[in-house]
Amino acid sequence: MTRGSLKLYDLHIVIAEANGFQSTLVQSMLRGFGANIIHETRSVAATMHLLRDRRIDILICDAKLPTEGGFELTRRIRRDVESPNRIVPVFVMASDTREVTVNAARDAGANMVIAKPMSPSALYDRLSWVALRPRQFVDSGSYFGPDRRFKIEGYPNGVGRRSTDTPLEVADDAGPALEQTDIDSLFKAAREGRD
Amino acid sequence: MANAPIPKARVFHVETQLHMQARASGGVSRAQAVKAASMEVDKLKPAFDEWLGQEIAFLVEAVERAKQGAPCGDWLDVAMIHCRQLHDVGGTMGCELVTLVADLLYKTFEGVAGGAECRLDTIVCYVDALQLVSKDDYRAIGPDQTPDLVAGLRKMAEHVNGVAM
Repeated sequence: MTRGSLKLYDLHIVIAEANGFQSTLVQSMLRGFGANIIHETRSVAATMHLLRDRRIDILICDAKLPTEGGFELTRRIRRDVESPNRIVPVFVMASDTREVTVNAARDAGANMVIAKPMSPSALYDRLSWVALRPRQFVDSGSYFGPDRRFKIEGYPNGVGRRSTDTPLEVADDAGPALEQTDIDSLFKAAREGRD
Repeated sequence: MANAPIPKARVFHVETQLHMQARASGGVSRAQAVKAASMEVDKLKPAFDEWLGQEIAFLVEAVERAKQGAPCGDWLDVAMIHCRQLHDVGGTMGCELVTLVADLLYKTFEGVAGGAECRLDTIVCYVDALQLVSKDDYRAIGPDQTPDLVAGLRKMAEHVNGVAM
């Protein structure tokens, strides 16, 4: 980390996890990182209740949080236009990191997935990633949350689907430029290592 | 190809307290923070011993109900919860084998929940393995130090679930 370090002092952090021991574990790690204000909840309903009257700075929730799950909790927070916590950084802890799970977290609006079991270094690195590399938010009507394109930095020269992206200009179709025999001979030459 | 309509997405910058504090000067280094956190986790080891025993007891109790012929609805959800909790916590507390066995058992439970045949002999075997690897002698041992045990457990999982583990 060259630009800064993780500073959790005085930040309001919520750990939403039904497994009491897991919650204590995460809390211990956060205290080791310097956090001093940590709230614990055990369900989606309890978390939403807490967030109703309190502005928080970080939410760390379990993917299988009773009863609706951490993805639904994230969606509800992101959907609530009245909530002061709509842009809060959300970390989802998941027992599996199958692609389907990671995609579900991303599409719900989570900032990061943390695989369980977790180590202090893994938790630190994920918190740092989000703290030190802020992503833009996207409100597309069907999605509200951090930009989901954070790994692939868009298309070359800004060409893409969004109105802010550079429009893609493609020449008119002028018929096939090469005959199939030409294409075949090009591939044959490439296979044989010729120019 | 017809031009698809460009979605009207609003893209904007957000500034949270977490981001602002990260940019401010001061703070402790990663190495110091991770070391302090590891020390905090170490303090939980006595509580973990008790918790581990309780979680395995809950799991054994649920499987006992299955052995007595209880329908899946009476024991499977409870067994899955405790199995997942063992998976989630074991590795963090240095019991990698607990996480590994719990992972294989959980996948077997997922199969049963998805309609696969409930092979109680396999489930009991995994629960026995969990009890074994939760003992002091096995706590600090990693999967690479017990290749035969791990290979046997994986083979069993492959046989039951029909996929490579």
